[in-house]
Amino acid sequence: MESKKIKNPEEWVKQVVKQEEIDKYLVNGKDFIDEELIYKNLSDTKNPEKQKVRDILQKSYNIERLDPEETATLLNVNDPEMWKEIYEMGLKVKRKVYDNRIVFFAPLYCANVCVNSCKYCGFRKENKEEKRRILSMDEIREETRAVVSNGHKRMIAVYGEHPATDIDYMCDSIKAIYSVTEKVKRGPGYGQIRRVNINAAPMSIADLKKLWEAGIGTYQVFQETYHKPTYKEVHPAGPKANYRWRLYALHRAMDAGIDDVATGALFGLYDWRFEVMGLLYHAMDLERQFGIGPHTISFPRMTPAIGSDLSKNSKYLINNDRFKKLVTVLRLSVPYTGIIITAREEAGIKKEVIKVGCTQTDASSKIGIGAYTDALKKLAEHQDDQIDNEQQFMLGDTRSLDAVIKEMAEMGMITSFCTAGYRCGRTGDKIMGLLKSCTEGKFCKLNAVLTFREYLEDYASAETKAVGEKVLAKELKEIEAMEFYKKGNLLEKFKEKYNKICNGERDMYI
Amino acid sequence: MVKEICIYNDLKEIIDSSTDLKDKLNAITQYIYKEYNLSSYFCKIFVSRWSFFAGDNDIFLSVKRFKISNDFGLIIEDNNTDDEVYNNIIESLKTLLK
Repeated sequence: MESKKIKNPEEWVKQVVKQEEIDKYLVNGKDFIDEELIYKNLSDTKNPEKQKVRDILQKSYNIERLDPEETATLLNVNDPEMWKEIYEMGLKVKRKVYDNRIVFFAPLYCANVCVNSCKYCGFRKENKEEKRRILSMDEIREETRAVVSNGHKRMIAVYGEHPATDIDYMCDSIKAIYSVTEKVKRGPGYGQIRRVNINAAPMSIADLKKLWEAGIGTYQVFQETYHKPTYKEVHPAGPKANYRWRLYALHRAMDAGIDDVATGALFGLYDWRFEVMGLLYHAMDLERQFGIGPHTISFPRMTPAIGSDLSKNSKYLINNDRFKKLVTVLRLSVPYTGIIITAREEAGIKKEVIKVGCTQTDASSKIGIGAYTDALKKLAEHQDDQIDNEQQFMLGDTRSLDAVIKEMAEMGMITSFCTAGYRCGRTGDKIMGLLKSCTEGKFCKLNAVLTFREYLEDYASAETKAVGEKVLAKELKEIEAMEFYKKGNLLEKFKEKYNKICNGERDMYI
Repeated sequence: MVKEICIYNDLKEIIDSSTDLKDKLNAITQYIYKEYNLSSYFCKIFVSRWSFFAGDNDIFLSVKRFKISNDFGLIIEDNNTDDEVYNNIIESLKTLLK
């Protein structure tokens, strides 16, 4: 590890929370989570009439964000037949906004040191069983090489909250990730990470500006739970104990200029319906204060973590049926927002949930610190590569990227590694407008084809290529037939770029 | 060559007529649209991210992307306009916005 003076954690934590950077977002001294109101939303909408539900589905299909009463109505549907209609609409809405593609990324856990004490997390500072490690920049580059060698183009870097992995470390790590180019599996080309998103602790506006200048994609902070008593119970110490500091993390990000922000809740800490409502109110407050909501929403389910009884025994753990429902309701409630399902989930439920409107997922994921590089060594030694005292939690889906892409193709979905919007100024309110008008999806379709072509040429196994070519052919046929693409010279330009990729050029986008 | 000098002089006049950077860049994109019927917008560059900064907020279907300096890039409509036009605009901007 490069030599650096690490601040004393106990001193460092004292300066993390800046009260004035919470107070500026409050309204009459209150934050936007009114628990009584949420309970009322849910209790007032029990046993909804079918027509009311259908009206709400139509509103979502019109790509309008739902109101709290409407989201609560969907959460209160008990009729299995009605749920079939709701699931179908989830997918229809996703396709209308984002077309038929699913975007892939890989997580990179850079460190598991942390000053917090979250009861559900393997990284919490009291956990003596966790083997602590901080990746050096060289190690980050090695990890990135391993990720890129699978075919990934997008990454989310994940950090605990600790002075050893402060804003300077994060900015250096982003630079390190972007610096890597790695030869592709086939052909003369090189792969690289084209977009780095971040999942990190809440920060001050000053620190967030540094993150912005480092070229961050999306800044992701999960509230974990919006229920204040539960939040207090599971976050007993550290800066993370401050509910409102975390609640307004993304508001500060917007003020710092970061216009792609992402929310999430850890399902299993409290009542799942309450958390869905919390996520909706969060999106609404971002819209109210900044004109745009979250770029993506995530909904990890609590899974066993070493040294955490809560992660195994919480009374709020949710089954697959409820999980599918909450994802669908989120999809419909904020129809223009990306929805991420991760490899925390096992393959079977992941496949089910993708069909109700998810837009992003990960694969070939390793969440141990240094695990991508270690996995290559273990592969040679034929060892299992999930180690519970080196990871935050255990993954449900450990399949390779190629295997998951093949499955997507067999489902008729095209894989995308698109980073076009981020590199053409289509971010923040610009992309939100495009998503709401269902225009961005037209670009999504083209860029999915371009990046999938790259993947098939450079990385795909023979089996995946065979299935993938069929999906590509279908997409190309649709593109040729759609009126939208006949405007101006768009179709001509697309074909030109597609042919360039077929002839060996890379990183073409529209 | 004459045309190149003309564009350069026009853009220089626009840049010199204002002190606010955003105003300058907005005015440049308005000039480009008026003279060449090309929509455009400037982005601030942060490593790989290009973030909208000034100019036409509409979306154009097909674009060209040019790095003007380490800090700024131009996204400009691609509608089969002569390459010479783009080159003249971009070279002038590169010199004036160093």
